[in-house]
Amino acid sequence: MSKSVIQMEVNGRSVSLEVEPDEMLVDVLRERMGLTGTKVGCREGECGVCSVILNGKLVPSCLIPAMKADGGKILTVEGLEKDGELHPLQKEFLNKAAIQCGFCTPGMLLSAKALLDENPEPTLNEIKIGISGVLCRCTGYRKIIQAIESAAKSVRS
Amino acid sequence: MGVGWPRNDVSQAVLKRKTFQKGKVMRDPVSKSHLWKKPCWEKYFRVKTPGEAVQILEELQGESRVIAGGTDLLARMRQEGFGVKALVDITCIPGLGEIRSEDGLIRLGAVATPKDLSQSSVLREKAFCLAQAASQIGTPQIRNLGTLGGNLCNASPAADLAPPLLIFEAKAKIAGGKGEREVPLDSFFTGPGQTVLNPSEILKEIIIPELRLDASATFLKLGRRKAADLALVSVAVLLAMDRKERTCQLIRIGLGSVAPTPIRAKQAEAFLIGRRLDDRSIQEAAQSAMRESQPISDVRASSQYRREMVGVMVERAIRKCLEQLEGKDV
Repeated sequence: MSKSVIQMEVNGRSVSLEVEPDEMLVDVLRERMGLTGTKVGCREGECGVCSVILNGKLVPSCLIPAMKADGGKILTVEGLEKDGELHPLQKEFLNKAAIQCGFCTPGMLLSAKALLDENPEPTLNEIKIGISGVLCRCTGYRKIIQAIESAAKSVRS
Repeated sequence: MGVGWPRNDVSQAVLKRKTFQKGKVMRDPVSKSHLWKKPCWEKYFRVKTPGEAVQILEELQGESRVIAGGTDLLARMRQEGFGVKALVDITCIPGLGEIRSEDGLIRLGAVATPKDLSQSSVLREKAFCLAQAASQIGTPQIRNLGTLGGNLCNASPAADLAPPLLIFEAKAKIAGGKGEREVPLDSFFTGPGQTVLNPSEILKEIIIPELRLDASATFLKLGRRKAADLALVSVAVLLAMDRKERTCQLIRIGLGSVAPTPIRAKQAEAFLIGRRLDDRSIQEAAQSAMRESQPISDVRASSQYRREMVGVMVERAIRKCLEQLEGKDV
């Protein structure tokens, strides 16, 4: 098994790492870089809690071999906060109490981020589709949707 | 297992999957075994040309596999763990994800993602039902990562992109050691999970004609839920008619999830062609499509239900096409 060196930009910081050919991005983020905000659920791309934004696109990091992310720009939930201040989405999630157990929250936040980056004025239905790739087993979807709606408003104003 | 628990199909299937099998490491959902690494390969190649991919696949025959998005492949490798030593990633080949329109043909690169397809202005204008189908695959995450080629090469009977491509009579362009060949998509699938591809060949491109201006096409998917589900039945219909006589000039019906491969309902098509499109003929065509389907029963639905739904969906799709045609000024 031969290791190779990959280069990535994670949350604005450039890193270079030696990875195994069959190491997954989510494990590199969690186990090697200590970015445990990204969660591991099903490892089959069904639950969405491992979602990260890779080169501007929301992807399940459990299905991405680290080698595929070579040269990529990655945003994890840890990178949402700027200079000690929470991202408007994070603030609204707190304001609206859109967090129950918190396990899906990183996936939800990044889904919402990807959605708002592409479409700053999403309709209710577009929000629902935007977060449809993340399962919340506390089933607190309503608050999450409300939080995204008001974050969209605060980003716009 | 407690005594007296209801044991329906679902729990049986779950039991079967989770039961300990000799020589196989099983995942324990409670313990820390999520760190457990089962699918392993020793080499991961990111190739830059189709030729390079074919060369590696030929050198490591039987031990290597093509990976594009990996959304199907890696999930399946976790469950079944095929003994593969090398993965050949073709997603960095320049131009392999392009969607182009030229001389009345639309060329779809094999690694175009469902997201690319659903947002492509070419498809939205000239083959809308394909964009529609792409926007209903999996989840936003899967639509960003999966690929057109992967959806087809995985050869699931439920592949969402297959029925709409079948009604366009798509051709698959395949690159191999002896050069390139073109295969009609009709004969591309040979069984569940099986295609005409040799282990050292890669799917490069899908070619479809633009939708005729006087025709309309539609795609309908029936799932248990809207997101992240496989189709119980999917139907794509392409229809053109003589506007004066209301007779059917051209009809193609593609069906997904109701046979070992995605299929065309050719008897239903043959029945309808040249006939006046009225309630009776449409219903009879739908019934013919039901007879042509050979669905299985699984955890998602019974074969009887699937067959019944083929009738409902085919009828609905034909009516929708008719509606679209009537709204069109040709």
